[in-house]
Amino acid sequence: MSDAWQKLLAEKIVVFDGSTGTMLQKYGMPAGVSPEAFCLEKPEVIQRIQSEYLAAGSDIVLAPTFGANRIKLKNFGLERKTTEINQRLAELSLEVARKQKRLVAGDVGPTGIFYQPFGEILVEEGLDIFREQISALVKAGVDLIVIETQIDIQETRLALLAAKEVSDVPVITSMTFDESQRTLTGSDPLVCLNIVQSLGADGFGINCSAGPDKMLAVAKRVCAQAQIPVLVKPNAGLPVIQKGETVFPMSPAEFAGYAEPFWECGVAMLGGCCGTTPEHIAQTAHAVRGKNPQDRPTPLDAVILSSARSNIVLQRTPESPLRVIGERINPTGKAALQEELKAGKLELLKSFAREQKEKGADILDVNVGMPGINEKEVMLRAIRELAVISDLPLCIDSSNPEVIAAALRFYPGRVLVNSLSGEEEKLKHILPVLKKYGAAYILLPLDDTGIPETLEQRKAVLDKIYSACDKQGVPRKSSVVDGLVMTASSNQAQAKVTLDTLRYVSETLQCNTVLGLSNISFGLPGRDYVNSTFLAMAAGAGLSAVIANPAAELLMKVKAAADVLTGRDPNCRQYIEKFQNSGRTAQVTVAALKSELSPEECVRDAIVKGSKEEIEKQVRILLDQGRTALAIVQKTMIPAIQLVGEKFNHKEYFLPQLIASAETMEKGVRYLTPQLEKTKPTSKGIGVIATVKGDIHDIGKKIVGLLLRNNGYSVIDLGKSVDEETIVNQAVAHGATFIALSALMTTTMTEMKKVVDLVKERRLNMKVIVGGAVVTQKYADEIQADGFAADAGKSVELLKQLLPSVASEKDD
Amino acid sequence: MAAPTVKLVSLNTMPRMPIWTRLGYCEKTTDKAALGPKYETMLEQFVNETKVRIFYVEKNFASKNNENMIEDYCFTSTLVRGRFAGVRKVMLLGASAVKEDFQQLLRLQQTDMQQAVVLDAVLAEKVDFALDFIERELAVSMRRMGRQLGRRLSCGYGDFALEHQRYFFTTLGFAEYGITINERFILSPEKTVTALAPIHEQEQTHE
Repeated sequence: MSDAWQKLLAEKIVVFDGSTGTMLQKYGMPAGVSPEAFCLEKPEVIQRIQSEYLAAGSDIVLAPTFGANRIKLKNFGLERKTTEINQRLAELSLEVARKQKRLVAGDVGPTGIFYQPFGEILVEEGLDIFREQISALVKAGVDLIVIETQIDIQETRLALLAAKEVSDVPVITSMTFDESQRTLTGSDPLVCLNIVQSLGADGFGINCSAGPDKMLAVAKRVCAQAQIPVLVKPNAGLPVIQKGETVFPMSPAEFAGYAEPFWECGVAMLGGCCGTTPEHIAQTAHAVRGKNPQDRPTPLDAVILSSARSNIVLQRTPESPLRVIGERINPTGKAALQEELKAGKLELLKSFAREQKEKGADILDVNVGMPGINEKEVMLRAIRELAVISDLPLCIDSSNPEVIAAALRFYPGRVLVNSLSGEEEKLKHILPVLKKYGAAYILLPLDDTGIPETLEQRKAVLDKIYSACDKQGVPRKSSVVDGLVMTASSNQAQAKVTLDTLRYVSETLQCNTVLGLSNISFGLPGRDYVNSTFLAMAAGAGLSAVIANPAAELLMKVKAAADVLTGRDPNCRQYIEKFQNSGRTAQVTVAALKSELSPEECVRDAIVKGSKEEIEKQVRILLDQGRTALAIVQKTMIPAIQLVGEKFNHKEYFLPQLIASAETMEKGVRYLTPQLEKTKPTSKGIGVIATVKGDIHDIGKKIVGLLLRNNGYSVIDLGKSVDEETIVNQAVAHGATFIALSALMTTTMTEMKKVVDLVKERRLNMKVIVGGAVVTQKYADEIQADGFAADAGKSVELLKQLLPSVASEKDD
Repeated sequence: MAAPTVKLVSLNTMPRMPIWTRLGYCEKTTDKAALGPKYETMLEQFVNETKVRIFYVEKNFASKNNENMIEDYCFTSTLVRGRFAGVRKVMLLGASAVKEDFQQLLRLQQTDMQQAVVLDAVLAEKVDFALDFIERELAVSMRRMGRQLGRRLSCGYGDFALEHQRYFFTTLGFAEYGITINERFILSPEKTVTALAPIHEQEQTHE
């Protein structure tokens, strides 16, 4: 009956059932038991619930197999019965539904574990888990599979792939989005839609998470782009606790009131999730009775690539800018990267990814092919890292079809494959992979005879490749045709052929295009100019994307200008933003040069701005001009760090800036230490600082120590978890005038009192100051500490008040 | 008795603003121009490259007279008794920075304090976010059964003493993952958090 679903969709708005779990609980299922086991023990209960839904107007009921995967069943010791449980539960549902000529969907819920690259479980293990469950459901005869309530796009992909590997029944993947319109793991609905749609899902759904009111906005966005039917199964509102029990607040009438708005935005299938009952479904079915399904939207004329978190759209039309595919992750000509890859390290690769994003790449090309490594293994490791650290989609660049297939199977998104050509071996091995994983692909118009020299020859090769694609069911619109850049220094006429190819593909074939740019300038001096000029010309010929190094400044500026001139940057917004910022930087630099800061101001400036690399040079200038080290510290550096403290206290600066200034100050003082030792400056006070016994928190105390030293105090850091005897003995040994104590937990702050008591018991003339997350002024007063500082900045102020000021040595 | 569920997750989609706030950033007053892209890049790198381990397990709960019982673990707390009135099940939750990330933090404290404070803030916020994450993840599956997680409560809050952290430590199986607890009930890595949440259930129709 697998065609029956498609037939229903053509005729009417298809109505699914409502909540099974809530109804099972209502009919006496005890909390904490396996719903699947309960249904097997009491088949009459699940069959009664399903009969009620069918009577209410459901065209399709879901078999009660939501948690019938081996991971969930293991919690009840039932994992070995996975196949048997799924088959039996599907059969029970089919018995009820078939009597009324209705359909049954096998329900596949999340396993509750995370798969690589976001978790630890292997992708192949995930596939195996889902294959086991789905095979059993299909064998029992379900009409379709609904993979639902998914929160993680990788798990959804794996379930969908598994379903496609074991059967031909239609598959709907349905996901849960929260108030921010993202899955719990951060994927946007349009990202999820693009990934599952390209992988071959037959329907896309939104379920659970919220009531229909909140879900409508997500449904509108999805329906505007979905080329497959959309299912919506909202909750009966969000549950509330009344008298200690969970209650879903939305009435059937209110719930059904949303059926028409869902239909209007293009939803093809409606049902209910948590808290919904047969009455909710009955009123919903009534609300859409007689309504014809809406037409699907015109497909976006674009290639959409996805990471797990974001989509990148490649379009010929002016809607999207010229896209940059960062070319840096490629060991060719990069000795350091080659060494790292051979050694099994990926640090450099990760830094290339970060840098390229920062410089404006939209997509990351990943090529790890080189002698002496296992390319497939390294590619998978690289993808595992990149999928986590970068939200840019990937372009998988390999000449080995096996590597491409492994990458596509693993990556939790929709990639661009680099590349397919008319070579027989490539057509034979890469086309089936593109078909299976629904990837986009760079198409090289060349074949086994080589690179065609004329446009006409290139057209013929393109025809041949597209015919092969059509036969395999690989969409032409998923292609991005490479204009095949040849070296201008060896054959200048070829530049025109490349541009003509771009124009032909863009205007006549109406497909997207790409260039591997840098080849154009090979062998020429001033390559930046040749590359940038050719990019501008190609942009004019309709280029959609360029493979280039986004760190090439001139190139990226020309790209921004080309986006303006080809209408791809509406209102010149991106261009203005880019150049306003760089203009401001230039103005600031000029202003700084013109103002000619005095040497003192330069030292002050270095500290205030936290320029560690500047400070020694500036201090040296002051020394050369005859200032004494002591005068530099007291008259220039300390006022500067005090200004930083004030900025921090007024929240003009945040913590890392404070640290940067403090470290700059410390570096400057260290540089001056040999001269300072000759003049023996008086310290403002000697103190010991420690985190109290039992407490292991360290970082706040270190920051306080750093700031106190900056401000002229000598500080001995005793470390963390230090007992009161040690603290006081060390304070005495160093001739301390103060003790600074830190504690972060309520259980350890009591140690502070022991230190205060010991100081008093020994009648020592030293101040005890306290601080830390849980410490308050009230607590400091209670234990009779001399002072309390709420943060590092305040500790300096506090000591200034507590310790009599020491006269600074007279400046010579 | 069910073993705790343990998952290693990256959670790199966590909101960034709480991290900035923890670092003292204030949208109205902090000089944005002075910040430049440096800290943003640093923060993004740490968010993307660190991981947390999350733990949870469901237990029976009862509250009688002045005593609360999680399975056979007995303790007094009027706060727990009040908040968990009528509850029969609870969820023990935990989240911890992984050892490698915490060791990196310790190394940075010696070599680069600026990076250290940023990583410190990222890890602290990430483990807090991890508890929100588990709650939301559990809510999805629990809602289906007409169950709901209530507001969580951490040891050390009110009269729910920090010493109960030892029970969480044992029950969630922290030791297996290199987490330790000291005589003051402080967990190490210090970026480790625990909480107890009530489970509210749906009324049943017995026919």
